[in-house]
Amino acid sequence: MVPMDESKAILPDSWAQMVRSLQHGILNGSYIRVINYHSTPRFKLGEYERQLEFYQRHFSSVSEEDLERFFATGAWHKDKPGLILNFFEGYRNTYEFAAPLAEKYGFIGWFFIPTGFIDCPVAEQHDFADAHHLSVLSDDYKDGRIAMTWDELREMSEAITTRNDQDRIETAGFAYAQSSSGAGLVHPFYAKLFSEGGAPYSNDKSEALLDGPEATSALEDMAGLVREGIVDLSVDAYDFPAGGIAMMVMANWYESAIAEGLGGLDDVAVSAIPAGDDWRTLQYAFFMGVDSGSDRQEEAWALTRHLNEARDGEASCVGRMLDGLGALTASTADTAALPAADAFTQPFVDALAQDRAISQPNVMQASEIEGLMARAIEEVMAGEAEPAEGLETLDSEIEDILAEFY
Amino acid sequence: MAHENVFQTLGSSARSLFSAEQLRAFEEAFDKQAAYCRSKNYSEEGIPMFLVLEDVSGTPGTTPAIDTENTAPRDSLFDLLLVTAVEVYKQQLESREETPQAEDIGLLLEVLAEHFFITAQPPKLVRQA
Repeated sequence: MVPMDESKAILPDSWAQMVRSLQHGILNGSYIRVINYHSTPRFKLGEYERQLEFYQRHFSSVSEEDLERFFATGAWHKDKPGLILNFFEGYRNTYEFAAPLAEKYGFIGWFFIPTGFIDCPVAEQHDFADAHHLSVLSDDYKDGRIAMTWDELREMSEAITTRNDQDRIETAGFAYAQSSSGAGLVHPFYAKLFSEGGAPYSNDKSEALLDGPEATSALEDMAGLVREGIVDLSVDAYDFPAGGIAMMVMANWYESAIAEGLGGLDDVAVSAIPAGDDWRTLQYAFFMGVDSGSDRQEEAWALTRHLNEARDGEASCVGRMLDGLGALTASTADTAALPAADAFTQPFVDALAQDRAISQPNVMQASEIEGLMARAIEEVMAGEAEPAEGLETLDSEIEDILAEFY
Repeated sequence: MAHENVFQTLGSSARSLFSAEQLRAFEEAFDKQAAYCRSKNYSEEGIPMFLVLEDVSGTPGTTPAIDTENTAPRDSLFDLLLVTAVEVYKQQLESREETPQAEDIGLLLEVLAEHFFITAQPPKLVRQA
């Protein structure tokens, strides 16, 4: 019996109920076996291999589909009992040693990745591990890196991507949350471009800068996900709650849809788009204005103020609407009135606080330009053009538009 | 008989098979197994566990309809052994003075998985029609 801890004590009735529930589940055959691994150090490799060789003889691997069927029917359907291999915390040694072993012996590994650990600079990873009770007892690596990298995670996401008979992706290791406006591709492109140190326009907005190396590198990276078979443009972001997507680039306002689909956000980790130590992201904002030609300007401004002003300690209409979506408000009064950012939204707040969020440049004909950008990015990602070639054409088209105004 | 009573009887019956001395030996074995589980190095070892579906339908004790046509043959005797072992462990934990806690379920499952992760002889059962 473990020492008494008042905060974790449960009522005797609850204890009995939990045990009974356990027994009913077992009696119904509604159970499955699990092995939980955390760090998998190199010196244990021989032991892990012997274990997996044994497991291969006695158990079946468990896919997400198998697990869903198990949940739906309450019973296991393969002749050998199912065995789930869990690997927690995103250790580098689980990528280097455990994942290849699981693959060798025909097991699907279930990796639970805390993105804060992956994002942590190498020099701080041991401190991060200590602060979060992650035990690292062996020192396999002289360079000090103990967490997986995003590139390693990207490689693993390729392994979990599955396609149907028509070669369409059924389960995507990675996806872009696209929208009808094309922003789902354009905005990540901006984030990558900013992270590369690039900008879409010259300061005076007379010139587009999308034919430079920064833009090419950003688009190469996105197109590489398609070339490597990890993503294609047919993947729908709303497959994420259904388990059809492992990782997704998305805007924060997807929070409400994901929470609704999953029944909560406990299993979703949020991180900035990985782009090295100098990463940047896009700050996307809505503007409200009144037509200078309107004959109802006064009423229109009154309505705009009504919608945007916090009153009596309560957030404004727009603030509440944005908060409901999971998006952020730009009003400090709204910020004070609304609950603090949750774990889903906090990384976006952090990006703002760290000056890593860069606003989308406000240019004339912005909507038309964004449409052109979406089309160009889609063409490259569909393999219809090389990144440099597609961007050169795009650059030229945008400069034609800019020339009318700047 | 309600399942609750069956479980209780199973556990008590299993315990009644032992003499007092044997029961003490059994309880010591359980304690040793629990101590072994607690002493495991979680950052190096794979920890066996059972994932058991909980009936949240609000009708505990009833058996949910299972699609037997597409399920694997079950080793019901093994399941019976597991259920009995759970009851014996439960009664042993409850015999202590301390109040059982939520994490004791985890320990119970861990001890159970350590002991009964695989059937000694894989059953050769015929798939039910």
